[in-house]
Amino acid sequence: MRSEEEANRAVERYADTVRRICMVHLKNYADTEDIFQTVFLKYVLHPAAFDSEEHEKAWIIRVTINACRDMLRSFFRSRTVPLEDCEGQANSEKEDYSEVVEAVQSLPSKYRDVVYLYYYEGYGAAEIGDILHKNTNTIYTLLARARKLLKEKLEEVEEIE
Amino acid sequence: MNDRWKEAFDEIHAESELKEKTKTYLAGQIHRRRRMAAAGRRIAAVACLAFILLAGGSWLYLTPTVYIAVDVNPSLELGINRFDRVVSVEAYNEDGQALASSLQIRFMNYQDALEEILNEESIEILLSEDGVLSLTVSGDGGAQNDEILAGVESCAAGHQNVHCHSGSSAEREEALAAGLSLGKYRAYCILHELDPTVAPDDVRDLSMREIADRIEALGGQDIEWEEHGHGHGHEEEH
Repeated sequence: MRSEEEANRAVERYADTVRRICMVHLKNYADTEDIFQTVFLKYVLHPAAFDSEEHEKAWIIRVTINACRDMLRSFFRSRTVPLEDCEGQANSEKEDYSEVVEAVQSLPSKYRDVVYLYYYEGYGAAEIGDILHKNTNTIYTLLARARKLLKEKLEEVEEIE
Repeated sequence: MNDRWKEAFDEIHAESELKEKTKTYLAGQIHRRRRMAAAGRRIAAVACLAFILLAGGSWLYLTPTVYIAVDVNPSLELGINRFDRVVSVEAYNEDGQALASSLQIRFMNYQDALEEILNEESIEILLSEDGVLSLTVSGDGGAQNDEILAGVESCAAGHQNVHCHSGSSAEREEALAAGLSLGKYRAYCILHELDPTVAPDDVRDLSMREIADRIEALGGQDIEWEEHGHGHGHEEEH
């Protein structure tokens, strides 16, 4: 088990990355808090050492994506509605962010991670394949379809490419 | 990377409150799990110690240190632990098996167990009909051996035709190899000297009285217990 100092260092280093992935997938803050606790507790309990900072970051990204998917699939969530939704999303987070983020949030969930990892984190298709445990060609296909969808949502899609 | 993408996602930061809350949660989890791990280690250590004590105690309690061979025709051997309790009852022939299964003497004090055997109806009948009962104590010597021999003699004192002897562990091993209890093995050895054709199997189901009679018939000396007369006798290791 890692020490409290290591845990704090990881939170400082990767909190923004985890937050962005949560932003891509989740709509309410309470879920984001749960994801933070889940991801960083897994980090604390992860027994193996990481080869490098890049390896560590890729591990955090993969665990965060999986935690978000698990949460979205969970029995409880599938049968309940977040309070924010009941309030007409009066406090919805996405309103505070740019249309690019909104466009990504509006994509089907299978495209969101690929788009985020490719365009923002700067990973190549092969690296994304490793993180998401998917074939590289599958990643290219997902990227192509995601671009097409984004083009419909963002007029300036040429700039994005 | 496109600047627009970078600017868009760069706007998103984890809130300080979220980070602090996560750190507090992790600190709590780390301390709780460390306490649990330490408690687990303590419990494991205590369990190991308890197991060792239990296993050691069981071994001490269940290991016989002295044996008492009881021979009439039923032949039995009682294993006595270092706390003077009967921890094993071994039958050496069918009659012995029948007697052993009729007695509830396991974990009893050896003197109480002997009294139980001597007061058993079939034994009393055999003794009243001039049967002979031999009690042979064997062990590695030492104080417990002597104390048990004295205790056995004390039990025998109140009964007719009961004789006490002392033997060594080596002698007991020889008797076990021959498939006889120690008392009967000693009688067999005397008979074998007079008639070398006699084998252990020939005497296994004979009563001690019958063996004594055959020894007498072959012109042998009175078997040693006869020298001591009724009541109890005491023979040192031979």
